[in-house]
Amino acid sequence: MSATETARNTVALVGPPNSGKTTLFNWITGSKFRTVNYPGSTIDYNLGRAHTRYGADIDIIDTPGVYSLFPKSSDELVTHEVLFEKKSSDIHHVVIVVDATQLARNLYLVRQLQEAGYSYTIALTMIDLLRKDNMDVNLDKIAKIFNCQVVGIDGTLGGGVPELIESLKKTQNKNIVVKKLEHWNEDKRENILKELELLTKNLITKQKNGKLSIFQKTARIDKILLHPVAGLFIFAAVMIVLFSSIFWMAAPFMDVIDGVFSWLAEITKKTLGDGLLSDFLSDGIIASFGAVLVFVPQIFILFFGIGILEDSGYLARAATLIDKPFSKLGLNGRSFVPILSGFACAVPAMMASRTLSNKRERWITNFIIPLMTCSARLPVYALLLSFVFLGQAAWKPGLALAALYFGALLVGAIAAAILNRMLKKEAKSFFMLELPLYRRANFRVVLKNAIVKTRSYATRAGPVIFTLSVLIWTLSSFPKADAPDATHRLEQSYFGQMGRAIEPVFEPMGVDWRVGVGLLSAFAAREVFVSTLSVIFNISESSDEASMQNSLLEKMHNAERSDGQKVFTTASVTALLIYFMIALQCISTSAVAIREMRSWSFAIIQLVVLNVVAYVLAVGTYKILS
Amino acid sequence: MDISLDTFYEIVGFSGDALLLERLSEMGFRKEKKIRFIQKLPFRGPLVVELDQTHISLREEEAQCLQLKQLAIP
Ligand SMILES: Nc1nc2c(ncn2[C@@H]2O[C@H](COP(=O)(O)OP(=O)(O)OP(=O)(O)O)[C@@H](O)[C@H]2O)c(=O)[nH]1
Ligand SMILES: [Mg+2]
Repeated sequence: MSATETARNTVALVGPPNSGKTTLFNWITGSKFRTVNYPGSTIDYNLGRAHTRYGADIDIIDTPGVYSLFPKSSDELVTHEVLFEKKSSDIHHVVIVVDATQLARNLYLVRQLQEAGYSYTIALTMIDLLRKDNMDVNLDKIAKIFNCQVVGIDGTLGGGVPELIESLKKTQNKNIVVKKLEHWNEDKRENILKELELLTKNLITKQKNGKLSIFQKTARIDKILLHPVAGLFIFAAVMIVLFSSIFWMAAPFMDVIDGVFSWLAEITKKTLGDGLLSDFLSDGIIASFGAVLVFVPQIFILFFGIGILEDSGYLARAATLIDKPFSKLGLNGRSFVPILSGFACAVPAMMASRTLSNKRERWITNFIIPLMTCSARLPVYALLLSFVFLGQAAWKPGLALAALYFGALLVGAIAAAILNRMLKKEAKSFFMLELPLYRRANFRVVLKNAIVKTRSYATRAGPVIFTLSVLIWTLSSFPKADAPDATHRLEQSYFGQMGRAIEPVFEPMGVDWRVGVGLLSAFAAREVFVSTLSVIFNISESSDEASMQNSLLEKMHNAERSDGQKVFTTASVTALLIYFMIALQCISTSAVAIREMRSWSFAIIQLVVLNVVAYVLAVGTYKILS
Repeated sequence: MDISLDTFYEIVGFSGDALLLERLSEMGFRKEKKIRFIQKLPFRGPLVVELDQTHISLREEEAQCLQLKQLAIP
């Protein structure tokens, strides 16, 4: 270890869930990690450096919330590893982040870190909530009781952060020796809780009945939102509003984006004239990007809606409401947040399942997450549905899309129920969820978060689409055969020769090898299916048609298999929709599954089962419909 | 679970799975603590408990770990 490295001061922020660690971390480092009003929003540790304006050379580690140093779930294990598995010289000091409104309960962790041998500072967050009710907390007394520095933090405005840094500068980088705790028995736990309650009894100056107004408000709202009847209705209404607004609110914006891309494609065509390259750029590349980017408004609205729910504190209530039905499927109320995020993308969703303490419940949750209709499926659904319902009333594809959403949920529920039967029960499962105080969602923060996430959707598939499009175009344009028509030329290209080898697999679904290649390319990212189709069909169908409108849909209509039958029929397209609804076609998802479950076998079983079931159902659908 | 909403109970003891008991203490449940049930979800779903100034959802099985004594209605 070099001299500069040993001189670095590393401080870990540790505290109970939802106590404001990430908020504090963001203030100290100037970073913008997501803070969420839900216990368990941080599921991995983050390393940052104190912002230069503080003039302190300190590294800061944000950790997932823990109730104790006896971890009971994977996210708590992360914190435990940060504290005890890294070389202990890495962290020389701990800032214990304590919610000032939950003083006695939250200080329990202080006693544990004390016993582990850590030197620490206490950061008391949510001070603003006390002050709002003319209450105050006696920081000096706490400092005396625990023999440490205590700083009050207002996480909404950043008050107290400079003071905290000043006190951290004074901490010394001496080599501390820490040790994992031995089991605390019931008596010890009871005694410490009791002692803490006595010690903190007069630390907060109270008025009236001493209850925070924000807590009283929360109690009133929970009477309604957790009402056994009304609460369930409201839950259903919230979900319906969330998912339907994705569609009606996004529609006008989508039209604009669609218009811009059609215009771009037209301009390109006019400038470059007729020819393969012009077709490739306009109908291939530009149209594919348009097909993906047209969903930006929908994705943004979904993220924004979920963001509002997260920030207000409602998600923990939703988890409570759904716990019972979920437990019948071998899931847990805590599965709700991961499953909901699965509608955006399975990758963060699987990571969010770390807050499930029971391995079996986590297994089932992660198994069904890829069945949720993620944003990458939307461009594919849009293309296929507009093919089936071309020229028909707009409500028809809308209804079909809703059916796909519900169908996926149903398949997920069935899959969970089957797994629940098959997997043997092991350890105790528990729910025990602390419900955060309701807060008015911070519009600006939610907006910013939604923009960041939407941007990552928009940029994620871009490079893949571009690279694969160019690759597929090249492979299918060469060698230049002198067959009379485009279809035969394509068949003799490198790509055509490879493609025909895999044709038997896709034939039972009613489609030819060209669609098969599209399905395979979708494993890079589902949206790529659309761009692959437009590139391939562009090459094989366009030059024969003198039609002005060379839209992909039209080409799909004309596309014929080698036996002269149409490739795309209602039957084959429905089969494709079923396939996309169920299949796990996403390398990133499988990679995260391996990492999160620490198991190759989980990822392989999931990949094989979901694809085989999807294939069998797709083939069955085709056979019935055709 | 046979409890009535909105009246105070005192925790007089614990019984049940050791892991559940440990987590209950870590969340702040201890003997002599006065708690109140705010809501009870249907079909024996979770119970929402008021502890100090927070609400905690407990499954029925988890709530049953708490041995309770109903306090006289003031
Ligand atoms: N009023 C007020 N709200 C705060 C304060 N600090 C954090 N919050 C809010 O409390 C919620 C939780 O904050 P986070 O910073 O995500 O908490 P955390 O400790 O990182 O939570 P986990 O990662 O889930 O353990 C968010 O809604 C924050 O906006 C504070 O000092 N005052
Ligand atoms: Mg956090």
